[in-house]
Amino acid sequence: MQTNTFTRRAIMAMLASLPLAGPASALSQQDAESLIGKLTDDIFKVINSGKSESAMFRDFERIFVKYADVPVIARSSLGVARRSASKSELSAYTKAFQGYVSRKYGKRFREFIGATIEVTKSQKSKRGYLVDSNVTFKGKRPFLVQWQVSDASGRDRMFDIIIEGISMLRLEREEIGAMLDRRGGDIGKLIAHLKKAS
Amino acid sequence: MTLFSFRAIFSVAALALLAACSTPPTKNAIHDPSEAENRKVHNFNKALDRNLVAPIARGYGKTVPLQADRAISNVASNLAIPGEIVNSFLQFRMEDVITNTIRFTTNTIFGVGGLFDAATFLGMEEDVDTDFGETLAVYGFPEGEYLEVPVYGPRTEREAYGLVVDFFLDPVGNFLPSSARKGTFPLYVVDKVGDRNEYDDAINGILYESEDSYVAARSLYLQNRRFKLGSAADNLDDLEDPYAD
Repeated sequence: MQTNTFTRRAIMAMLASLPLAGPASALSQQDAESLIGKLTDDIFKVINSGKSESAMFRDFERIFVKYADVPVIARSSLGVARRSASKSELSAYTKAFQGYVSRKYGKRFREFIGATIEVTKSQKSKRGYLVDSNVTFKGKRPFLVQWQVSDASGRDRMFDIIIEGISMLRLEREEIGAMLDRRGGDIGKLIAHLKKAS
Repeated sequence: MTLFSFRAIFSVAALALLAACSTPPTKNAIHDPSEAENRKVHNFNKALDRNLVAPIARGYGKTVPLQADRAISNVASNLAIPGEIVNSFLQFRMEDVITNTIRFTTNTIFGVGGLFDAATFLGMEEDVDTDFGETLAVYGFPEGEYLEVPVYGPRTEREAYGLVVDFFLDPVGNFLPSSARKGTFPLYVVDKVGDRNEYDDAINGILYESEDSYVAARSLYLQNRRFKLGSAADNLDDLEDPYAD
């Protein structure tokens, strides 16, 4: 009987220690929703701040880096070319890409002045959660903006924005792919272009 | 031959052509074997926008009061509903048939022929936006290749045939007296000009600010169309996974 008790205790102890052995912080549905809530709050604060366009672009880039898994998004936007890119090319590209995306989407955020955004629901997805939000303009039909959230990078991060079914990851992969084709697959030229493009 | 039976025959002929739709190699891939021709049409559409539609739309935005613009767009969307009801019926989506029938009746009677969106004011469900391209999708017809249609813009092969069928199916045009019918097409055009003005920033962003506007327009159209036609489960399944490799 002594051994039995011992075994039971040992098992209990093992079970109790299990969460410690697992990932430091597993992403919960609530975490995913609150991350997107904070992210959209930050974006709308900038949109309605009345700052100059270039100041807003800097703010958007800071928000993008804070909430998004930028290295993974940038890598994915390169498509198959990411496989042949060197480490230094990848990091230079990531830096150029994050500025480019902040300016490109930042410009379009102007259309959101006066709109409201609200997180409506979320569901489990392949890599974490898909969080739904509605953007409402006065007198217009609301549209759906979805956010993919994952902790695959080790931290809770957003990695795709999907507007009425249009995934930013996919759109960028196709557009960047076309840019790369035009430059004969030369990543150096692509980086130079992204640094000044918007 | 009456006009109506001519229309019916034409619709059937368009359907027969559909059987020849080519299928994309894999789901969600871009199937664009006619890219060279499509790019020519794209350049034509872009020139048409730059030289004609966009300037007219800007003029429209400056001169037409917001209320008038709203009324025009209300009438146009109300007139589109009977065609949507027919398509929902063909798709066996009876709930959508009912939603749109209630909306059409409410807006036609209480919204004075659709000038006012009484249904939305009364808190009714939004109208269900559908077309014959979706009906074909429900019947299992493949998407076919990507096409850029002159004036109309991006479509898939299936949606391009659907566009033709919707044009001839048009229940409003078929049942209105010919004097009123003459007004529906100009109204449709004016409504589109109003849309061009309303979405000026977004459209300019795609057409004139992206390096390859053809690729941007194609991606936006295909993703949005597939999302609208796909089930919730399909759409969840099709999410991007950049962590896969």
